[in-house]
Amino acid sequence: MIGLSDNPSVVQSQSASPVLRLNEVQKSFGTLKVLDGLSLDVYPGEVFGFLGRNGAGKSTAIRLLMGITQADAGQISLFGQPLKSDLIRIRQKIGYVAQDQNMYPWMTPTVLSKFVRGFYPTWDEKRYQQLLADFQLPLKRRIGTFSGGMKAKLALTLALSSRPQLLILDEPTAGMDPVARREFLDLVREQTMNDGATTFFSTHLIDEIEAIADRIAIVESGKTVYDGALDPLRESIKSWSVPMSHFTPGDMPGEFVNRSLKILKQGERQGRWVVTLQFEQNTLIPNDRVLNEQWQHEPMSLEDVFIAVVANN
Amino acid sequence: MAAIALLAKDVREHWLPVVFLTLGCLAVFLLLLVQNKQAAYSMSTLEIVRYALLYLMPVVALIVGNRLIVGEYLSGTRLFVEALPLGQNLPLVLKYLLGYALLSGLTLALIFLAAKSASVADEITLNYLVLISSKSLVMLWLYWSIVFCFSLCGYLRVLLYLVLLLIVGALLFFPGIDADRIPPFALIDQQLFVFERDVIPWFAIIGTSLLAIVFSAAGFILTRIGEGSVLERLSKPMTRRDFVAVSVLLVAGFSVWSTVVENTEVAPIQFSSESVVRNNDPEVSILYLSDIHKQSADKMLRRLSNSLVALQASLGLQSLPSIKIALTPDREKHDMEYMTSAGVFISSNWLEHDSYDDAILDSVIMHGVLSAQTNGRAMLEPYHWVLDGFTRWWVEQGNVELDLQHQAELFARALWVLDTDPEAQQLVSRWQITADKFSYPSAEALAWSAMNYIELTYGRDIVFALASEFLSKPVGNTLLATLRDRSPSAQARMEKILSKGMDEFLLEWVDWLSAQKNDPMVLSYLRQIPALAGQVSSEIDENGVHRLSASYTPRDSNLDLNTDLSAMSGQCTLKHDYIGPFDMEFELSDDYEDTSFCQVLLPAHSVESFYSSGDRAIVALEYEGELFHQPLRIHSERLDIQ
Repeated sequence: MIGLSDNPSVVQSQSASPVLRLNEVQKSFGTLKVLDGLSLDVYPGEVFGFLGRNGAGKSTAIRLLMGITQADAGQISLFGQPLKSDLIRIRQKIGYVAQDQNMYPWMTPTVLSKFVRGFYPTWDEKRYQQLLADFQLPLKRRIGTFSGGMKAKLALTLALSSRPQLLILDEPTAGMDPVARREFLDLVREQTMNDGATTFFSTHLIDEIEAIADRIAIVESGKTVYDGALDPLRESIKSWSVPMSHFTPGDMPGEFVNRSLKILKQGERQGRWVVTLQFEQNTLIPNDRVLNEQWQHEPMSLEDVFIAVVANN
Repeated sequence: MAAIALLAKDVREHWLPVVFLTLGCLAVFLLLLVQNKQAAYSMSTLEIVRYALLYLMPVVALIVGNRLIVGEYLSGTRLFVEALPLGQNLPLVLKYLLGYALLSGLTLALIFLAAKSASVADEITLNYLVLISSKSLVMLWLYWSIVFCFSLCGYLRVLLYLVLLLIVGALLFFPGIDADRIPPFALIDQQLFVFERDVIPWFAIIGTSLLAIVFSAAGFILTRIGEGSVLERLSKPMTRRDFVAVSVLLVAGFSVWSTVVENTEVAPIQFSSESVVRNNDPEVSILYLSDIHKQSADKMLRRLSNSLVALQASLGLQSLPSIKIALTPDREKHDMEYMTSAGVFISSNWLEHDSYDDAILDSVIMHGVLSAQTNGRAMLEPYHWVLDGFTRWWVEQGNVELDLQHQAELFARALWVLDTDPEAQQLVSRWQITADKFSYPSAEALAWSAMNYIELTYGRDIVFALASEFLSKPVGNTLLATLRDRSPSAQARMEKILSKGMDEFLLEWVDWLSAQKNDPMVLSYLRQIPALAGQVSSEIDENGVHRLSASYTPRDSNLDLNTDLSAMSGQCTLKHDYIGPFDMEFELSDDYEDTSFCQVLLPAHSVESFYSSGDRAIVALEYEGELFHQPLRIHSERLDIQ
């Protein structure tokens, strides 16, 4: 894992003890190792993006966090106490939006509230009603007739109405169209900012993370391969290319002040030799520090950065 | 609080179906009460509780389980509940208790209604009521536990119910198991459930409770295996691969069962009357009903015992099945009821028998004895003709002197069969067709003539060798046993014993048999057979009634059959009956018959039948003359009623 300096906006939060901590967590299903020493901390008030490819272990990690399944090894603690110590009380402080909405189709939002409020001592019915109105969700219509987007909004309404200290979102926008997704993300951002709750947002979509996350963890093959803010990650990875006619095997874009770098990717693309490098903490070299002639800086999107990191692992 | 919220949710979700179910159950209870009051055979109104436990409550349990558990687990809503702040087992425990409470409530209501009604004529004490209620609740617990466990198995549950039904059916109907003595069947025993007032059936209660615990525990454990992953997999629709896997498992299970497991032998029934003459070795019992028939029973006992002892020695049989013969004076003299599932049991009327009739009866008994030696297999295999021919040969000449009159009647029958259908000479390949077409007496005569020829041409030893080869060894009822019995083939085994090809043997035998038609005694029988062929038609008349009609036409013959119908004293008869799906041999009784003079100018028979469209029936035209002991089947055919 590469550690980078954190975004100044979350440095203050990190001085507090983490709301959520996974430490060397392992989980296997039969011979398939899904989590292989996953570690991460999430601090109060931050929106934490949990990024990974499909099958990387994100949903398993969340099921562990919710206490639905048990870890084979490692420690999980929420709100400073081990998960197993008082699962019910811990869950009462969590708002959870699952990937698939399995709410009772025969219920209406009104009936659903009557059912769910019994489980949460902090249930805020006013807020529930308000959110339903904000989201323009009908009170008396059966949930079975709702669209996927409406169900996701209802799930978010449920999650927020218990005034959670931690909001866990497990790919909640899966299956939504781009407009609905953006609307949903704005709502998440707005509501969590208002409440000051911590948000743990799992997704495989980079733009979602870019839109709302303060800090991210990239998980690949059950391990954390990056944990930190977005900008330092973007800054730490650079790509250069040179025409194949000028490339000699072994060539590098230049000589950098400090050689603590890692080649993430190199290869031929469209007649040019492309090299992607990742620099260690505090060793960033400005673009104009390329020493060798003919080498050209290649701009990288966050998606390119993510692919470079994930592909390398 | 969480429990209340969950219960409230279930009540809100299911209250309407529960109301309908309760009303439906109450309606059925009231119907049962009314029906029970009018039933002459009922001893107590509380019998309806047992009836409801047997037939109604399992269905109610299925409905409750389907709504309460299957719906939740197949739709995936359990995943929503799973993420709520509550104990992991709480939702399922509540559903388990709620379902059982509902079933118990319904049953207790029924017991209350029944007890109130029964108290009019019977003393219903508190102890008695508690006993009935306890037994009912324990039985219900088992039902609910099974439904609970299977409901968690998603789409696989249908298969599990079917397997369970098969197991219950096997236990109830397997003759070697007295199901009434083992839980849970012992708990709802027909006699004891209602009429036992004092003794608590602890064995049945504990046994049934243990079964309920096993199923309940299995259900709860299933939800925890692989942290619910098994349950999740089961809640998804079965894929084609699953169906194939289940089918393969079923076929494999059935194959293993049929290959490996042999049926258990069943103890034969015993006559309990004092009017029985017995012989111990071989075990023969004859029920003669009244002292005036004892002499005839003794005579038959001696005849049969001697014959069986000689048969056992001749074929080297290790043991013989027990033989029970019951006198039924109201039967026709050739009408016999014949069962071979536990020894040989024959119900017959021998009081007016002559020697030929005795031979018919003895042949049937020997047929049963030797068929039992092969576990009944000889009747289904290509050596069936050996069984039929040898048994008749044995009673006619195997152990006694051959009666020439018997011989003439048998030859005449055999010749008539071959004359009517030359293909009947194919003893190995067409035996069942011949037996169906000409009926057992004529087919038996044909097979007897073949045995007679073998004795005269090849010697008695070859007759015994054939019988010993095919009729003295039990054939297992497994697939392996069948394969062993069929390899080498029956025809190859016959050819080996005869030291001759089957075709050559059949040719020689038919030539020899044909020559018998010139025997004056045989001729006298042949001249008593009308030279007739028959036709049958089936139609719906103008009143919408199904009718069977039949007519006769003269036919050419190589035999000296009678063409002058006016000179014949016998009668032509149309007989008919249903064909069931498992009928193998068609023995038509006299229950449905129409008799008329044999004539060729007009339709001889036209009868209203009871068949409707889609039925299958066998219709036969027979000639019953004075000289022949049994009818000659002129024509027979199977009809699909349109």
